[in-house]
Amino acid sequence: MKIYSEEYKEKRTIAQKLERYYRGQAKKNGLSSLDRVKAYLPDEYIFRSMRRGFAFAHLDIEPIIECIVRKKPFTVVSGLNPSSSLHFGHKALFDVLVDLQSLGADVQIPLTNDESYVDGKAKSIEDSKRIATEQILPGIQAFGFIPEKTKIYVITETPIIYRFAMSISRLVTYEMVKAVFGKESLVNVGQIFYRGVVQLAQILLPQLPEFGGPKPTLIPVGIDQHPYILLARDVAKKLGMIPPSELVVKFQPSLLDPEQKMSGSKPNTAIYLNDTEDVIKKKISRAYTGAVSSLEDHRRYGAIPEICSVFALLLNHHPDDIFVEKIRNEYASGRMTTSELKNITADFVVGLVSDQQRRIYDS
Amino acid sequence: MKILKQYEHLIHSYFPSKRAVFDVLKKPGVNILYGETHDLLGITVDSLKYYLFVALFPDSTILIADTASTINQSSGDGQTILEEGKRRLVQIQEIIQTYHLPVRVQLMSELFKERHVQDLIEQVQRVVAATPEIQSMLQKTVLQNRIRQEDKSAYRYAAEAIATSLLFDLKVGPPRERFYDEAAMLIATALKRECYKSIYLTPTYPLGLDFLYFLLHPEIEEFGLTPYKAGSNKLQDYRIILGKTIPEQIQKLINTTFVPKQAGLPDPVGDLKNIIHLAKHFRKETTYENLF
Repeated sequence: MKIYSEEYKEKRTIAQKLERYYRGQAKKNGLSSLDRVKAYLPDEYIFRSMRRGFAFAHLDIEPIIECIVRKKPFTVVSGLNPSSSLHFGHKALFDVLVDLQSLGADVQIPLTNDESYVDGKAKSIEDSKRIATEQILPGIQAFGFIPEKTKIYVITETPIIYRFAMSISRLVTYEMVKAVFGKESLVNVGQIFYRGVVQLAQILLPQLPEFGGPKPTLIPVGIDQHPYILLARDVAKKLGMIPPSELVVKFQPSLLDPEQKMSGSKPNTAIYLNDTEDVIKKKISRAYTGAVSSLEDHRRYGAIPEICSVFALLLNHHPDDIFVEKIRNEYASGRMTTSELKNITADFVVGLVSDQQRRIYDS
Repeated sequence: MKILKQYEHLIHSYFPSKRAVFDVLKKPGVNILYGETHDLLGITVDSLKYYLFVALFPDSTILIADTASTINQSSGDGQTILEEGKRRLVQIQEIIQTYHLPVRVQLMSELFKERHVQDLIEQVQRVVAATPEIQSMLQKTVLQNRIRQEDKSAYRYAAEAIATSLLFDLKVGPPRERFYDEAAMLIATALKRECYKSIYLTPTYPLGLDFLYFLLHPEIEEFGLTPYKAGSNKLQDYRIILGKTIPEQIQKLINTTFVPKQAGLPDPVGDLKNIIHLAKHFRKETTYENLF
């Protein structure tokens, strides 16, 4: 019987805690596991994030699967708050959108610069608009979306959103919004209006007559956003629209703490898609890993890839399943050292960022 | 017992437990019931699975629940249903002859002419009327639109089904019958009678449909269609109806049916293969062609 070191046991506890967190949240919120869907779906429809477990739960995704298989129209909506540069957490989600688009989805990406402003993350609306248009938009376009099936829009420049938000505002009370967000994030009336109905308008926009009327819509979200999807489904029913379906994804872990998400406002937790090679290598070299610190113990116990922020970069972003699986096995068995993993990952991430930069430059 | 183990892959579950069922089967002279209601669309190959399965045991009865079928108004008017029951009796007798099945077949309307059966039905009705817990259990066995009708008739339909089952030691049926059986157990206790035990065979699935159908219908995935009603869920075009579905249609249905990529998912063609295998137990020369 192996006797594990305290450090290894600590890491294993974190892994168990994370697993329990996702499973528990899914259960608590009445979400379904994607296992049943994956069991039925032919392999060609199981996109990468579903295959690798980044997307792990859903609410009512079956009509979307039907659209994919029967080649019927459906839309995926995922907003982005342009308050920081794009990072790998954003990329993980945009990869989901790109994969869904390859399966037939129309994609809508509202850039919520009004949210940046009401939350005080942008100096002025004009400034938030400039960041969204000049910095964020080209980055998103470089992910490889099909232009004719993609609508990326800056909220303050899209009047229909506010007209629609106003028209549904009578269906949502302050109490409902408070129950979803908590009063601490509803300090000014801009936040109340934005969180209460502007976000809803973004989710339901594809179902307006101008966009072809009611149709299945999928919203990929983090688990913490689930209550809002419930509110959107409720309002959709009242408007005679199809309640949006929900695909729940895990977070891209912070480089420093596997229990936190990569955050654009905390530079050391994230790799930005405009970081330089040196910065990327430095961040990865300092990142939290799934291995114990002594090489001898690592060889003996192996590592825990599930809590390794470095391995997570490969898991959520590397296109080759076989390669990722091989790395997982080598690392988990202790045959691959942390430093080898970091080198491989850094090379991959640097290549990916430089490709992204080239695509932005070319466009 | 040995034979049951040989065909265990056809069994979905037992009630109240596998052990209880096996204990019953150890007793001498065990009588076994398979009861089915019907619509007007004919006998399905899925009913055949049940006829063949109960024929593995020495003392089995196939009961055509003609009177119960008249209660379900969507199946047609009462008289037509009763006549269909008689036709079904003849057809099942032909099947029994063809496969040399050691089973008897009987109409429920005939069984109900017996005084002791009527007495038992009344006793069951009295227990149901006095026990709200049982009433709420029985409500789960019927569709929402039939709850009032059942309530009004003092749960006559359920009482008849349960009283009939209580005449036997073991019942074979689809998984959905578990709801009845749970209520039957309470009723039997109230009546100080031994309650029958149950074997549920694997659910019946439609043919000719792709994986999406099952993905979009979790309730069908769990319980399947009603095996003995060809028109269950209006999917008669996706069932094999004995003497009606022609070989070309059967071939087409099989070719277009979802084939699961892992165990535990509905496997309609696999189920059909099992039925053929079971048929061969009774008639060695059974082939795919002459099964129908």
